[in-house]
Amino acid sequence: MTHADIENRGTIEAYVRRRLPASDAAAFEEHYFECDRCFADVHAMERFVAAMTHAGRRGLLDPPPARFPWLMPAFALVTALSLVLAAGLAFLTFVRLPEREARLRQALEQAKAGRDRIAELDQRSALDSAPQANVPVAILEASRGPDQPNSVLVDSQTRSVLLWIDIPPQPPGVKFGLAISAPDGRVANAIHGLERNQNGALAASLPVAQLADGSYRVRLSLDQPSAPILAEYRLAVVRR
Amino acid sequence: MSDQGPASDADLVQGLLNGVDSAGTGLFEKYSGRVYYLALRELRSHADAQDVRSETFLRVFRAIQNQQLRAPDALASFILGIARNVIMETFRSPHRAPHESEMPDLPAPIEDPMLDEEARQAIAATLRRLKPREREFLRLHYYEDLPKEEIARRIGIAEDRVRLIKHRSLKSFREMYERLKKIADTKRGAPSLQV
Repeated sequence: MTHADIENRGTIEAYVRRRLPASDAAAFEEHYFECDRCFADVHAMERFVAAMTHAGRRGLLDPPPARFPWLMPAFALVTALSLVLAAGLAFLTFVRLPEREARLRQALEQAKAGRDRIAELDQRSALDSAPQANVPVAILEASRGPDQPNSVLVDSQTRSVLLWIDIPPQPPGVKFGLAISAPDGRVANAIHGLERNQNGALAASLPVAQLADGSYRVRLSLDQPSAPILAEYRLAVVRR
Repeated sequence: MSDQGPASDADLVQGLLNGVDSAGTGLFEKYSGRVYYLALRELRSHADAQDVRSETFLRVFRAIQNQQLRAPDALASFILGIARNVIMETFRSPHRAPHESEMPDLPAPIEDPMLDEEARQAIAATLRRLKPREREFLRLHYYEDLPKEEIARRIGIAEDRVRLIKHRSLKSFREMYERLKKIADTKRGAPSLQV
C-alpha cells in the first residue's frame, strides 16, 4: 500500500467513513500504525467527518432561511412587469413607429408627386395656350423616295410641327385620317377627321413631344375602319 | 538506543529489555495515539478508549519483557494486534455499559467524542462563511451520505464535476477553519488546533 494508492483511491476518507472492505481496512490500519503521515491524515479526516455529522445534526449545513420570503415573488413580479413594459415599448419603437413613419413618408412622396404633376401640367397648359413662333412645316409629297424624305427641323422650343398634304378636290363631307408610324412599325400617332381646306390641302399639327429623332411613315387613308391606304409619305424628324 | 533523533522500534524494544525507563515512555508516546484512536473509533467512548490503551500497553510491555516479540521491526503490527484483541474483549465484556449509539431505540448522540466544544464552535463559524453550494455539498456528501449521481442531480451539475466541487468545498473549509483558529489562538495565545 503506497501513499499514491491511498490518495488516488480515497482510502483515508473511505476508512474513516467505514466504506472500506474489512480486509482493506485491516491492511490500512497496519499501514498507518507505522506511518505518521497517514495517521495524522486519518485523525484529521475523522475530526472533519465528525464535524460534518455534528453540523448536519445541528442544521448548520442547511441553507439559510430567507429573510424576506415575499421579496422573491415581488421581485419576480416586478421583473415580469418590467419585461412586458420593455417589450411593449420595443414593439412600438421598433415596429409600429417605423411602419407609421414609412406610411407617412410614402404619403408625402405621393403628395409631392401630385404637386409636381400638377405643376408640369400647368406649365404645359401655359405653353399650349401661348403663341408659337417658327412652327416647322412639313409639306408631304408622295413622290419623294426613301433617300429624300420630307424632313422637319425641331429644337427645344418647338412644341408641334404642321403637316401639309396637297390633295385633289373631293366631294363634300369626305374625311381623311393619318397614321404616323415609327420605323419599327409601331403607330406613334393618329389623326382623324381631316378635311380638304380652301387651299386644296389637308393640314394637321403634330406634337413634337411624341416624336423622337428618326424616320417615320405617314399613311393617308379615308377616315373609316379598314380603309385602304391612299398614299404613304416619309417624314424625317431632326433635332437641332 | 540513540540519543539523537526519534528512536527506531528496534531501539525501543532493546531499551525496554535493558531496563531503560525512557524506552517505555518513547514507545508509549509513539503508539498510544494510534491505539487510543482505534479504540475510540470502535467503542465510541473516551473511558473505554483509555481502558483499552492502558491494557494494550501493559500487555505490550509484558510481552516484550517475556521475549514474546520475535521481530522488533514488526513492533507496530504487534501493538495493533494486541489492541484489536483488547478492543474485542472490551466489546464482549459484561461489565461494559453499552454506548448510546449502540442502543437501537435511541437516536445517535449529538455530541461526537472526536470533537471538543472549541472545535464545534470553530466549525459552526466556518460553515457560516462558506458559499451556499459548498455547504450544500458538505451536507449531501457527509451528512446525508448520498451517492455522487444524486448529489450531482440535487446541485444541478454534471457527475464528473462532483469531484471538483468536493475539492473546492474541502479547500474552502480548511482555509476558513485555519484562519478562524489562527485568530482565536492568537487572542488566547495557544497553538493552532488541527482538523
